[in-house]
Amino acid sequence: MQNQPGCEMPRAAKHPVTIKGIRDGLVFLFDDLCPFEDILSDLREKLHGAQGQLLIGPIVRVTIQTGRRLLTTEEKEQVRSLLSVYGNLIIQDFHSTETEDSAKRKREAFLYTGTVRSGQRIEHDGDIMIIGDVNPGGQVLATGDIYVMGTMRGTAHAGYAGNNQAVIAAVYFQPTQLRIGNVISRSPDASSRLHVEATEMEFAYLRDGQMAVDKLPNLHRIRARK
Amino acid sequence: MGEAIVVTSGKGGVGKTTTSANIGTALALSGKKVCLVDTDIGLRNLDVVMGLENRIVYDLVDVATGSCRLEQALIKDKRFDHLFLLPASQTKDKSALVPEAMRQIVLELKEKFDFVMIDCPAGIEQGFLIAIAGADRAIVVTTPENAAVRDADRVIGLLEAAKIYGPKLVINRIRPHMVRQGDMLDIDEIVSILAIDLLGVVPDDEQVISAANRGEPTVMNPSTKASLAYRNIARRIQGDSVPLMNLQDQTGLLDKFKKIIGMGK
Repeated sequence: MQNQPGCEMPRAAKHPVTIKGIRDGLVFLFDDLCPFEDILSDLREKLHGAQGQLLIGPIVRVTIQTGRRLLTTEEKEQVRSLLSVYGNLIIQDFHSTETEDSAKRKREAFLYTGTVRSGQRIEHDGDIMIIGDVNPGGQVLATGDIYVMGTMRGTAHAGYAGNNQAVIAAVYFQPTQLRIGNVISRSPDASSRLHVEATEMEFAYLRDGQMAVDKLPNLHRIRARK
Repeated sequence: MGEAIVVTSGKGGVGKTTTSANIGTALALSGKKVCLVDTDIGLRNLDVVMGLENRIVYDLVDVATGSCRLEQALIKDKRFDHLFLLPASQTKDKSALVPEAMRQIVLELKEKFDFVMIDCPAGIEQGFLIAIAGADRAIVVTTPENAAVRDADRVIGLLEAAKIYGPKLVINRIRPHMVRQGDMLDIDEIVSILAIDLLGVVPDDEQVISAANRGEPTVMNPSTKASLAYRNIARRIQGDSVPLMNLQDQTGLLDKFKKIIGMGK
């Protein structure tokens, strides 16, 4: 987990665990982007460190908010055991913005086999994987990423519900139009030949609000940076 | 029980009617019983291309409305005893023709003929839906132009949606010298975009136009390349495997000689 990038860099500014007081108790905010280990270590530090003094006192109700992260029963148990050092902290609830179902649905890409032809429209809440070509006039819309295992000649809109982190990947890129989130980019007007030589698989993403294209092996690096 | 094949393209003017007439005639040439059906109500042409315009009494709409029997509307070809035409109506109200009526007519025709070739109107509206209603198979005609390929792509999608699977492609009016110069889409590009089986390639040939004007399908004149291409298509429809013919212009004897002695281009 330590070698997973994306956590260390912004962590200096933002803590994995934030403790807030509300009217009827305390809220523990767990950052949903960093590894769970970091949360545990930060939580341990906060409970035993200097601030730990503040937690001693009468019975306090604690709500734990995990953002988009879903904790397993095992992970919940680990959190409980850490908090149990203070007898007065009672965990009332674990809150997550994700439900079990939506988390499951997002992980599964919608698989479409065949050519998306002119006038056809493939739409899905989540990622879409097309095994085949997308022809001019064909449309692919996803709230998540779009991967085309073939030639992308039509229009693709990744993250159409406003997700600017989404990417569009294809083996051959000759799109009519690419859209990510609310950014639209069209192909250059110079008449390009329909035939292209074999290249490496590429993907389009937004870099500072501009459409950029990179080789697919670099996808995880770009993802991590965000 | 015969087979009903619809000839369609989406875009107009790519040669649906010429293709229907020539493939139909080529199938008749090989001894099959063939019926050509023109579904372009209001803009009928197939009768003109076949040279049968002056024999029309009843038409497709008459059959659909029950004004006449199917046999009465069928026109026997001048050249073959086993080639017939069911003409489209030129003036009658086409709302009388609905997909279900068309399906019945095609079913009846399939019992009498080996092949029922349905010539589809341009576009993807009601006329298209009627034309494909009774079809078992489809031939998509396109020319080497972006617009025609785009429309063919749309039509292939609609055929799939109508559960007519595995349409076959005919690329019409290809000009080998333009393809060579890179000014025209080549066959590989078109096939890779449309991703369906290629049934045949028909070269652009002035003979096709003059023959159509005389009311005589090109395929009757075996000396032209276009005629040969249509005959090959007809053989492939019947399941023969025929290689694509070489479309390059024939080099003259002098050019060959020059090549041999190393003076050629």
